[in-house]
Amino acid sequence: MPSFNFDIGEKERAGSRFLSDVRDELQRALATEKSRRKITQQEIANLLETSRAVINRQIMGLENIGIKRVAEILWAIGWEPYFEARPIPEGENEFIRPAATTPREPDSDNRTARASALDDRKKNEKDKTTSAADLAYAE
Amino acid sequence: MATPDNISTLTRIRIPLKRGEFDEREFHAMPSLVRFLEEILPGAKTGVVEAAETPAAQMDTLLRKWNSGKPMAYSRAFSNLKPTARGVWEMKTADLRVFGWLWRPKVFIATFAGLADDYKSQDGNPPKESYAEARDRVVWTRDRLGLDPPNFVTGAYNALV
Repeated sequence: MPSFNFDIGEKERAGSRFLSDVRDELQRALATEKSRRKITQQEIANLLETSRAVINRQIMGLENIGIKRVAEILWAIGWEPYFEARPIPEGENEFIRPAATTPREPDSDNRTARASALDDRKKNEKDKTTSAADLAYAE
Repeated sequence: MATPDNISTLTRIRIPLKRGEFDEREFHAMPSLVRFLEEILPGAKTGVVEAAETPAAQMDTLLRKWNSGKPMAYSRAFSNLKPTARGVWEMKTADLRVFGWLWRPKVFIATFAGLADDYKSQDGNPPKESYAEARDRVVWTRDRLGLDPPNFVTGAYNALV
């Protein structure tokens, strides 16, 4: 079975997935409160002295949202954030950073990640014999 | 027996998942979608919505949600195109549109993907492709792929997704 591993890189993944998790949790909290007491985005915007459009864009992921605003939106609906950091268990970090005492070239993280991504890409290369008719249309 | 796992035209799309996350749903792609992931997405920029995340990061989020079985918000992340009886579905992010169908519950066959701006009218100009055209492309491909019948499933959202 051919497979392709879609990988945007560990650093990018760490950031965007955390953001996605925070947004999902924010949306879950809002949905819960909305069904419980019909709170609207306009009411939240009023409490935060901003516009409904801004709140909507932040909740939907169309606008960058800072951790302060996350806490403010949750405050507006009577919730609070809970955050905990923890070390990644040994062996589960795909890119092992060199020891702090090892001199590193500038941008070495990115180059290592790119080399790793290239290797993955080569692994994914495969001969795809596809029906010309299927593709002619799909293109 | 022709299933997505043994038909050479399709590629299973996987994504690195964290500990505690497992492949709960399947995402298979036609070659044009694989090329989109490899060649177009890495350099794609956010469109008129000016999203905070790059389209590539949006795709990572979308695939992670689908593959790991997380909730897919109906209409915001995953919805069926009208008429729903034709069983064509759209996965979407701020900047991306992915069209395909459900061969079986939790098994999505993605036919092609595009940038959201290509499906919107802008400055009075029509979109590059209409939703009706996108839907017809999916149906055309599905009818010729040769997967075991039934070609697609329909039903209640929670039962399918």
